[in-house]
Amino acid sequence: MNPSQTWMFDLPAPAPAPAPAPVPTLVREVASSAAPQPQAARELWAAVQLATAAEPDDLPGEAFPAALAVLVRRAQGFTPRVAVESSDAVLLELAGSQRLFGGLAELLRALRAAFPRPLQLALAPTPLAAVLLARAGRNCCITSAARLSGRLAPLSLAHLHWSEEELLRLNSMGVNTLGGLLRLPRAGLARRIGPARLAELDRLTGGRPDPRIRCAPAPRFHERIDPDYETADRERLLVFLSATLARLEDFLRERQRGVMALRLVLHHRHAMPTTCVLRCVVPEYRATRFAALLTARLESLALAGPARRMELTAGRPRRFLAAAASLWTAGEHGGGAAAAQTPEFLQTMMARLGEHAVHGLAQVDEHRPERQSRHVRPAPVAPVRVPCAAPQPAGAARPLGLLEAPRPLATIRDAAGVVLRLLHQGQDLTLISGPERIESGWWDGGEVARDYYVARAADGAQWWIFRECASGRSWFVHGCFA
Amino acid sequence: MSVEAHQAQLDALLRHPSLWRGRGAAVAEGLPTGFPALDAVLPGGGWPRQGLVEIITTGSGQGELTLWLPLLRHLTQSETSRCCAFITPPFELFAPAWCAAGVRLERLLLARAPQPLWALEQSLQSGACAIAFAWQQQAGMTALRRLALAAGRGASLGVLIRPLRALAAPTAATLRLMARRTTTHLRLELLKGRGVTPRSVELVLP
Repeated sequence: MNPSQTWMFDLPAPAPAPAPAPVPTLVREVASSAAPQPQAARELWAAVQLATAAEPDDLPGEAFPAALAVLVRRAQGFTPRVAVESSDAVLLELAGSQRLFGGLAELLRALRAAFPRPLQLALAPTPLAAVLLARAGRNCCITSAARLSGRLAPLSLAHLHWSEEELLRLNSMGVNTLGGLLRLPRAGLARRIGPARLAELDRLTGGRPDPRIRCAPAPRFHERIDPDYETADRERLLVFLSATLARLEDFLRERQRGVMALRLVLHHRHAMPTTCVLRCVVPEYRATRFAALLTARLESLALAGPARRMELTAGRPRRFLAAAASLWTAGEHGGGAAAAQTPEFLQTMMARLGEHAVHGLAQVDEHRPERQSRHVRPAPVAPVRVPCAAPQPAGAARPLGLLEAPRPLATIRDAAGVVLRLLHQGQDLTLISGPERIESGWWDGGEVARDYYVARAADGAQWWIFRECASGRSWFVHGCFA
Repeated sequence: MSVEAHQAQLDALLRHPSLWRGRGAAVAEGLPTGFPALDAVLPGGGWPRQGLVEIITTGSGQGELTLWLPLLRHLTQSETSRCCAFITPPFELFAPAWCAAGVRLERLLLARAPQPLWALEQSLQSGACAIAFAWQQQAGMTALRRLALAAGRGASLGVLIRPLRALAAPTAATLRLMARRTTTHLRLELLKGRGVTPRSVELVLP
């Protein structure tokens, strides 16, 4: 009978039996560490420990302190399996990343560069062991499960972060080190420290699986920038923002995503925050583009005062296809290159002029002239060919330009009130065609009843004018045959 | 071979766009205007492919946009077309009329800019626009030269519609025209431009 299996049955709390392993290893491990057999190391956990425990966070709503958030973000550059152990330690599972970084030695070098001292860094086959080693300040790398218990043995029990009372009790038993604790017979230990603590020790040595909840990467990019000094100078603000924009680019590159919108909130000392929203026509990820767009946007933005803090929030990351830039400049060899230029051009225009100042045009199926045109968002890429809707009645002239609102025409009337002359901008108008009646619309409150004419002014200009059929029968100019 | 045949060959050679013959001889082939009478008098047989065209009018309504409809139709109908920008027009563009003229509305881009010249320069030099229209009263020589250079960089055509006052000022535009409607025709006066002999031409607008 396998000795380790006997012990497993002795456990007070029934635990799932570990997968049977080759017997010789088992016997040797049992003999040396007096604990259930640790499995072959399939995982490699790294623990990064802050030198001092992080301060409780001042911002509510954030999952963990700011210093830890930075660690997590950096850790996610190494592996997707990142877990937060406590308020001052982060765990990374690195077994899958070794090949990517070109072997363990290279990986360790990269890790050290990303987490420099005084951060403690320790690698071990189990997460708890890595944390313990890091807490003890042993910056080491243990890859084999066999060597683990030997390295853990000299560590003080204080690193376990157990309660004072438990540690005192163990101390009175003469157990001061982890080695001493692990050497105690399991049945007695379970009675003295309880099954939960025993299970924890099993997880420490790898006798029990220790799954960790993966720390999900932040869905959106959000960063707070505290400039060294308050300033309203736009160029300096952009300098302060540049590092954040570079991180935004990294954030988006790692995810192979782009964002369509960016919000910058500038906090002032004595005024309400200024919010500036930047919208892109296509998903964008390049820091240089963001900087260029922000430059254009900030130029036309009225700041209420010097900014003492800035917050940059990126919109939802979106999938996009990065297109290869064209070899030719636009228009050099056909218009193919132009399509790639269009989004950038539109973004520049929208950033400088405002989102609604740049638009496309669409036709609406309507009979009232002021409702036949509609502003639409400009389309950066060629849409499918849409046939023109609503062909005009034959012979009806339509002007290329329509005034925003009909403008009343000056009239000269005789004594009976009959219109003798129509004047537009001081010039006589002659009717050359018409009338064409456009009326009705009572169902949505926009009722019209008008007789439209084409009129020629003395200087030759042609205008689209109308006379109201109802009240007043007054004349208006509505369009321009430009 | 007869003298005439030699002459014809020589003429064909001299018309080659890559042959530079000093002043005004080699003009790049233009874009057809849609008006044969105008094509006949413009250098290159049509609108310039890139550069700045100044149109002087006494005011709106002189047919200054109608003149461009055939070109706009051609530019917006092609598959790989670029946009046609209208910077701060003095009125709203009326979609049904443009549609009826055969212009694809998806290709039109409108912008309201406090500084129309900046927007025009952006449109011209970005290469995203095939043609850009702007209405501007004040434009100095420097500004016009800048716009002409931007149009060269972006291989686009800029059209600046200016009031009568601008006639007195010098210009750096590729072409300067004056448009005026008569009772039946559109009367265009070619005032200045590379390879242009000042003359006037009357067109029948559709």
